Amino acid sequence: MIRTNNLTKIYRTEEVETTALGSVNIEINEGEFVSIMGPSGCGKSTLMNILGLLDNPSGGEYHFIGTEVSKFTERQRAHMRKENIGFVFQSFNLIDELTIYENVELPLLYLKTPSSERKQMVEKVLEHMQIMHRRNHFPQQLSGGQQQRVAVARALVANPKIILADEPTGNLDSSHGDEVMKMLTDLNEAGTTIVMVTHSPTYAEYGNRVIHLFDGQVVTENYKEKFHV
Amino acid sequence: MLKNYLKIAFRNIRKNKINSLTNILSLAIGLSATLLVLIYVFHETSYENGIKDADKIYQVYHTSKLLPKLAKVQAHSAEELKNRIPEIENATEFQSEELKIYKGKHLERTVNNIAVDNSFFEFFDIEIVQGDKRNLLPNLNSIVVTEQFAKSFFSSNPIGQELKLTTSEGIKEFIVTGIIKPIKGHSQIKFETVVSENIYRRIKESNYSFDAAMDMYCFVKFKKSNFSTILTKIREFVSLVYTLDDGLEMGYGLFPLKEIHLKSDLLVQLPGCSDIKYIYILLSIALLLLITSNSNFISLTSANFIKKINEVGIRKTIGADKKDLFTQFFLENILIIFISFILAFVISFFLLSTFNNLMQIQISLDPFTNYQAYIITFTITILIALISTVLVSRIMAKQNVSVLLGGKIFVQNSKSYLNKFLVTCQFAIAVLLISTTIIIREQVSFIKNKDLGYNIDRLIVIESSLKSQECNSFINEIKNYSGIENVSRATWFPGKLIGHYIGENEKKEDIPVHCLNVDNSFMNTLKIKLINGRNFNDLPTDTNCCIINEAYAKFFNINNPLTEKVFNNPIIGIIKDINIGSLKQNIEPMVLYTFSKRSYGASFIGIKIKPERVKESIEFIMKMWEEFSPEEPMKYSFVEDDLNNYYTEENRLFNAAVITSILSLIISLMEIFALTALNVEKRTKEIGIRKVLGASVFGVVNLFIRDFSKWILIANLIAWPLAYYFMDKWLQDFAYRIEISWWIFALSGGIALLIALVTVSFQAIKAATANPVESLRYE
Repeated sequence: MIRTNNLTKIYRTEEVETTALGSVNIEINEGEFVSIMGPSGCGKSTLMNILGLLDNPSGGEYHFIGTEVSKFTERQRAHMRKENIGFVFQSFNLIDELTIYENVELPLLYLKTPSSERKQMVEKVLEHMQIMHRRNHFPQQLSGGQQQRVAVARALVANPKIILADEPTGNLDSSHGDEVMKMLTDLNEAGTTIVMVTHSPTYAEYGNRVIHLFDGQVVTENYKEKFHV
Repeated sequence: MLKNYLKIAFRNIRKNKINSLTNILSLAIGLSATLLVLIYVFHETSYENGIKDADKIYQVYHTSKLLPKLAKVQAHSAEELKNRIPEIENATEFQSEELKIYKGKHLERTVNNIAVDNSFFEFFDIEIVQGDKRNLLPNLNSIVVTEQFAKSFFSSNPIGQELKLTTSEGIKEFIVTGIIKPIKGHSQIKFETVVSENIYRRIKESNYSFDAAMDMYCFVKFKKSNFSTILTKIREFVSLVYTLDDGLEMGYGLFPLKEIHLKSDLLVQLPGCSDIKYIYILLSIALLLLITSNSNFISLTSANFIKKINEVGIRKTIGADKKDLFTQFFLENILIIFISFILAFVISFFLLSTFNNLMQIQISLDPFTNYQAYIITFTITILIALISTVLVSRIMAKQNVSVLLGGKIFVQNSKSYLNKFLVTCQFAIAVLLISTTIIIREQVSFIKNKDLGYNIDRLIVIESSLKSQECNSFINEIKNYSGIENVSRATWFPGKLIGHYIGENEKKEDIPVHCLNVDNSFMNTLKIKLINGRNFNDLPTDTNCCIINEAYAKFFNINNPLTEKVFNNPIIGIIKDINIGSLKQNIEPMVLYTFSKRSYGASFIGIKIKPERVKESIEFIMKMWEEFSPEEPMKYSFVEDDLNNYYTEENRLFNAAVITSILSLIISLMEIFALTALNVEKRTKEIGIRKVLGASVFGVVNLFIRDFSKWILIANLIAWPLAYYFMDKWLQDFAYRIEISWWIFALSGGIALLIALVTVSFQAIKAATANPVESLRYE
């Protein structure tokens, strides 16, 4: 589903050139749950941004669902994104001015899903996430755990092929963190591919593969079998 | 989707109350000014549009050396011109006057009457509601009334009913023979009643001479011929028919009908003309306010956008493309603008009567009749929304979603430069307007307080229609009343029109000489200073003598005036120069005669009343007047008011300048207020860190003040030379004017700076005194 060849990302200012990613080669297959780990500043979020088509790489190739997308324009990336990818962020990134229902509904609006179908899909996912009773509340009225559930619901509502989760438990206490991890595992078991960035070795264990990054390079890749040994 | 955008826009307005309110209110002020001014402009430029072929119609005016352009010509000119010049398709003429209507013996009201020739109704395409279309005015005592007049005056069908009017030939009874509609749309030709011009029994053959009365407004309609051909033919006609007297070079000119309302410079023109100058002044005011409020809108919208970067990032992440975001921002802007538009209508509704009073006009806000003004204002609002959306979208388009999601966009510098540029423009406009207002105020105050050479305190003037002997008896009756200080009769008092002739000096230059007839008390009543010689007295020889002013001696180079004559009339005295009218004019030569000489105009009675006895004295004078002239109510005015009428335009301009300056300053302050609020919010963390490191409250406040002060000072540097240039040009209209001094600019700059600093400090102090832990925690 995802394949990168010598993927690089370099940030340039007038005086400084910083290599965030240097020759990253990874491959993620459909149905996998991959965790990405590494210290702060190692390039995890940069890699996630590129994998999520939020940013273009500076060099190398990126094949997403069989298409080379590294040179895509913003318009092409936006199109690819809304059809295939669901995002979950550490800081939830819900729109404060919209209710829970409206936040979850938003991806379907951009996909121009017909109104009746939209309603069904939103209600189904809200019920699945057990936040239907909060549908008319605004994000600030919810706890962190609940907000992240909404974010997962929003990521799921359009039935994406892959979910990219950037430190989804980073702003949550352990019980809410466990809850979110269980949701992601359930989704993966139901067939959704998941790529997750995390600092926590415990939560990384939920994945069937862990990729370790250091200074913008992949240093190790551990499969679950080995991981548990 | 649209619902989602609108929902979020409404919630945004609610969330950012200060910002939204500032934005909506300032834009509403700008739009309200635009709407009112556009309605006014369309109203003023629509005059005579209701008349068929108005472009082909011209007013015929009279020219001579004495009176360069006179709107009235001699009777029967229309008929003569039509008969002699084949290029003229039709011609008409009418006399316009205010007549009094009586019911029984009581004066009911005055009415705008016109006395017309046979072509009038056809010429102006007048719609006839009732009456014989071929012959509306069959007899000399026939009268036609407008529908509105008929409704207000008669309780039943007016046809065949009697109307009693006072014409210049006494009270006459008329029979209503027709009902008509007024000229369609707005027109300078206004009337409520119409009679035949034949009631004045003019004898055609004796008309074309210098002494014939010029009392008809004459209009001609061209065939397809060229303007100059017709004008030449009219001039040839005039040179044929006029008895030219002493090379007075009389002639006729043509003035386009559609330009009468705004551009006429003819004397005794149809009443109610305006000046194109007001259109330009008001359009400039509206434009300035619109620029100020729009830059406010653009500046606040784009500043507010910084707060929404994260939201844009989220939307882009989950699938929004450029078009989606453009539509969202456009709709959000449109919503604010739409609310502002509604508020602008409400503001205009409340300002309408003040505006009408200020401009001496009657306009309404009716969207159907003023649809053009609404369409333009609405188009402007759409354009504002588009501009601000494009500005924001351009910034958005350049950024990657990952950058937007971080909430930190790299546009801070260019964005704040845009804001500072807009703030500078706004304050430049505010300072320009404040300086302009102060200069106009100084000049108005200067002309009101300048010594004119006479005293007008408690001086009233009566327009006298009494015959000479009756007038003297009336004066004798009232002058002994204890509340009256002095009474005088003259053909001129300050504020009234003065007669003149054209004299010629040694260098053969034309010099206008003002002439008036006065009695012995004139100089005493007005407290005019005699600097040489003596006043008139009752000596029989004085009837041939005259008194001149200093300017006369100067202009005609007379060294010993008391030994000289004016047209064989010995000069017996010289008075100090006085300003006869507006201070826009220089002092010109003047000659005073007694009443035994030829009369130079209508007769006035000036009465100086003792202090604190004004009310009872006027009551006494009115009572006496009723005894002398029971049919003619006393028409009087205070000279002070008459003189003020010369400065109506300046007073209007001053009021408009005050209102505009205040509005412009309020809008600019609103922007500063909202921008400081955003700035404080943006720099919360910085303030916290600075305070932790030991910054004082003043130090933090200074951060914000320093920035704005710099730009306001630049605004002053832009505004001062502009204000000087425009106001110096305006002052050139006055023969007597103030010097524009430096303190005016310092004061206006100071006012703007002070108010701005107070506004900024209000919020900056709040931020500076907050607990630093709070600000750091929230960051």
